[in-house]
Amino acid sequence: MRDEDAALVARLRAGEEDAFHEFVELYQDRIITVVARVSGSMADAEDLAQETFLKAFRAIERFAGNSALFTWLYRIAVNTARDFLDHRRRRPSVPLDDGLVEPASDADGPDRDLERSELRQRVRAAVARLPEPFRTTLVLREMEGNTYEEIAQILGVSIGTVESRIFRARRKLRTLLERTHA
Amino acid sequence: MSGDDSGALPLGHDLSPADESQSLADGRVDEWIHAMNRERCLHVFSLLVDGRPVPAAVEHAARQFALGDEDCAVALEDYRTLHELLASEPGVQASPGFATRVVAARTDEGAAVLPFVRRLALAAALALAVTVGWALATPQELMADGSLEADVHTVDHFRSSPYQTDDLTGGITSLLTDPDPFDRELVRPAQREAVAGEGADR
Repeated sequence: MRDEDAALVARLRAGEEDAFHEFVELYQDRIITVVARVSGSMADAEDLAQETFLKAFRAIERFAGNSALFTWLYRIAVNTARDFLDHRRRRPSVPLDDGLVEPASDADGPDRDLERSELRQRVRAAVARLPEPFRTTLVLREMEGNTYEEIAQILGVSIGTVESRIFRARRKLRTLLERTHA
Repeated sequence: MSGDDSGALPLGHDLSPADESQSLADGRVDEWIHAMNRERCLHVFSLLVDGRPVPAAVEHAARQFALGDEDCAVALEDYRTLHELLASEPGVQASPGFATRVVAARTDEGAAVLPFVRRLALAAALALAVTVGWALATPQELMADGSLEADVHTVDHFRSSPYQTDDLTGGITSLLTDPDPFDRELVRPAQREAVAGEGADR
């Protein structure tokens, strides 16, 4: 466990109010983002993130420090989002791109911007249609930038399974995009 | 996106857990080198796109296969495009005051965790207070009734003083020698005097 993590964990265990605030502010954007992407629901993202933090507060005594604090929190967030999906047993009802800001356009001109924006919309829709284990793994890799080792820790699977899921998620995503394009 | 290989290989969600775990990490390097196919070639490229370590011989076999399979090159380009698009997806920002709300929810949750225990403790304290208050407000007389007093005094006839042990033999002997054993004094002298005084008044 990193020194900064250890200090923060000690303060959280001591029940310091400031530590809870600091902990949430430190990770709130990344946690809201990952639960939104895994659950596919922007509308429920903050509720799921809040649930994630509350679970983390309750479980902080059991944090063994075998992984980074953020990886541990990430795992709680992903499981919370997956539980949400299991509970609802349906595809996201609110499009993931609601509330997302388009990245700044490049200098290729308006036609290129439009084409890219359309492709981005299609990619988001295709990601939302991926089966859950593959969507989660792909989100953690491509959108969240986690390493394979981190993903294996977060999901509790082997590196080989992570490699396989990412590859197959890409294949499936490519197929879905070709179908929507056709 | 180009090329259509849908149906050529099972999609992710169609795979069994056993299929899912197949990868280079399982140590089937020789098999991958000598039996390279499109799926394995794309798998290798998927790993290379992410900078994963791939045995040089496997990478070489994949590149050789890709030279003769146009779709592999197209798919690799698609992977790169997808990687670029997904990696540049904007994140979500928390709304103002999110952290404050979460910390407040934690406080509320802490307050809600013990309501039962708190209510139980409060109920027990109230019950104890009412019991003690009632007992203090209504002290009971600690006197025995008349019959018990009579019994006590009957027993007293068998001892020479209240502080000595019973003298049953002496008591029985005394009763046997008493000409009127049923007219024994069963009341204290003070009570007897009081009764006698009441009789005189009448």
